[in-house]
Amino acid sequence: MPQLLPSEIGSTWRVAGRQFCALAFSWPRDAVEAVRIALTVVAAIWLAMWFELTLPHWAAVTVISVSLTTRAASLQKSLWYAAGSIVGVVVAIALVANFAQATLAYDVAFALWLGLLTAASSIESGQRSYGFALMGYTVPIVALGSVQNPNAVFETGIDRLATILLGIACAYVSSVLVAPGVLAVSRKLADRMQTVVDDCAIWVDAIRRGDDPGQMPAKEILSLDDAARDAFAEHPSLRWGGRAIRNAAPRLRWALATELLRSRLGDAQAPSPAILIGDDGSKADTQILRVRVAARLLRQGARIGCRPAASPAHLLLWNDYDWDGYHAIKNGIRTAATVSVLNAFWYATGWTYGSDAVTWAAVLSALAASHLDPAGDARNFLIGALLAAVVGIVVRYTLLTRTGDFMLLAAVLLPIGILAALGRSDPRAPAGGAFGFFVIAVIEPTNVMTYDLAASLNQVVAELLGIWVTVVAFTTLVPPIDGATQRRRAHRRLLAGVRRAAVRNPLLLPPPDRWLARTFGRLALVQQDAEAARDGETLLLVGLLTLALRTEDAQTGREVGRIVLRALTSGPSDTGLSGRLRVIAARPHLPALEAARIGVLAILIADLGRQETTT
Amino acid sequence: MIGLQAVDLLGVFVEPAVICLVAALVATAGLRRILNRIGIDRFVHNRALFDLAVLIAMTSLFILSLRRPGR
Repeated sequence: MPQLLPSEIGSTWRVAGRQFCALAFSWPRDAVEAVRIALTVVAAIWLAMWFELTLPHWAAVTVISVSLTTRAASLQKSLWYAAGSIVGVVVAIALVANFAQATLAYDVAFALWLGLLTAASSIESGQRSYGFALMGYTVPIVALGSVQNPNAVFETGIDRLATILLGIACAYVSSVLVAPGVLAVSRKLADRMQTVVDDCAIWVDAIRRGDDPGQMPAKEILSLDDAARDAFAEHPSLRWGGRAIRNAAPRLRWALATELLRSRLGDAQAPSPAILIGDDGSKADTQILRVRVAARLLRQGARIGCRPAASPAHLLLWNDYDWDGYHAIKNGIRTAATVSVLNAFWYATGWTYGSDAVTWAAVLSALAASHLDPAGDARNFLIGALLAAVVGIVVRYTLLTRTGDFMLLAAVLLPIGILAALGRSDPRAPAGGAFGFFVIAVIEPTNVMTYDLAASLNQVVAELLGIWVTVVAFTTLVPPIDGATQRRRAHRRLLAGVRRAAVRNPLLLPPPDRWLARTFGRLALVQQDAEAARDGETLLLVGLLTLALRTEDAQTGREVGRIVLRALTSGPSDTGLSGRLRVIAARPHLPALEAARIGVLAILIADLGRQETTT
Repeated sequence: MIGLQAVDLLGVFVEPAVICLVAALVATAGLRRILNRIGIDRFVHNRALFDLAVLIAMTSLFILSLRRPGR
């Protein structure tokens, strides 16, 4: 056999490398990403086995779970995954330590914890929501995983934490290799800012011309807020000199509110609308121009100043947008009831695999509750799990029984990992996410494999039963709300927010920026209904004026606040309230700005009354 | 060669390498702030990879510093 010279070997490698790169670049991006995630899954399982962790598949599940479409979302989810797991493990150990001998007390405490965290998860959005759900369902995974031997709960918890942190580390290193540079992230964010600012400018122009401006771009501004936060999470260096980026969305909110008030009052108003609602007096055009300049500088890689843009600490735990507390409580009750029913069935029948059913019911109840269509998503999860159960059992008992070689396991896991990653990222495969998680849990690779088909089948059937019970719970037990109800409730919260701004203790009043962000969040929810949107816009202005008034003059503010409260409570058809506001505005000792604010409030309250009469 | 005795933290035996990793995370967090201030992004193509490399280098330095003198 002829021997190759070193130069020939180098040349062969270069050609192979070029061909591989050409192939990789010609593939769809999703496919390349799926291969990367699958390779990471294999690496995570190999490392977990090398460290002799008990259940290496948790590392693989973590990799799939935290590998999302954007790196910012992956980083945020990783952080919440780690924090949620730590809290969940601590609570699981505490519950087992306190209630190991008291089954009923344990079940009640477990159901309460899971219900509470499901409610918190429903209130929140994005990765925070996932984090709270994880805090909840980590408890059954750890506590019920060692139900036969409660003394082992500490080891199980530590083992799960170690495996999850290993999975997060693998996913992080893998994502770093393909991470977009600072300039690419800056340009993407600048494009987003430009699009949103153009939308706002079009809306402002339409309202000035007297045309129908259509829906206020409230959703777009909220998405800009998220995009800026994502960019900061992906490249924290963007914070330095990034105040203009952070302030873009708030500036646009104030600009739209200013323009809205100007359109309601006309151009003849003496103090400018921006001053009336408590902004710094900048016109809408100025605010929009500032955001345009910030976007242009960001695209060029330039910054304004060199100080870091601070991130409000409260955003770590809760968002500034909208909370549907009633919806959250219902979700919490449903989760607590579902796991309690399954727990009762488990204890009544003495079912050996009952803990598996309860665990998967808890996982799905907590996770799907915060989705837009939880019943549909739960059904898709069941379909994906059914498919995964078949594939997993076949793979485990036909392929893996041949040798104990890791290469065979890797060869089996690679295509499954690719399928799982593709299924998770492709919206056309709604059952793909469940398939990814469940198939790896069924294969359950460990250092020392035990093959007991009857036990595996029993376990899979129990898990599927737990998922099925959750699907039934989502469709029958406290069913999720529809879109119209969601909008009606958002409108009710909008009204309640203005009422609170009118009469709440001054010490508890929110900063106007935060109040405006939350009201925009609610407005975005009701915008599909034109009447509700118009009403919501008026309420937004009423709230801002009342807040500005209460901040500057507590006594008059309280008096006006009570009238606003009555106007919103007794029905805006009470025209006398508008007159009373005008009387207060006419008081001689009142500063001109306050008098103007109260006068505008009178107009808006009367306007609310007219809208109510029309509807 | 290296003093690798696990540290007992409330009953959990933690490897010194893990403690070195945590110390390196804290140290690189401070270093990253300084690098951000001087605008290191202008000179680095993949900032995330650069940060990871710095973390690994720092962790390695800490682990090597555990080497017992004279051995």
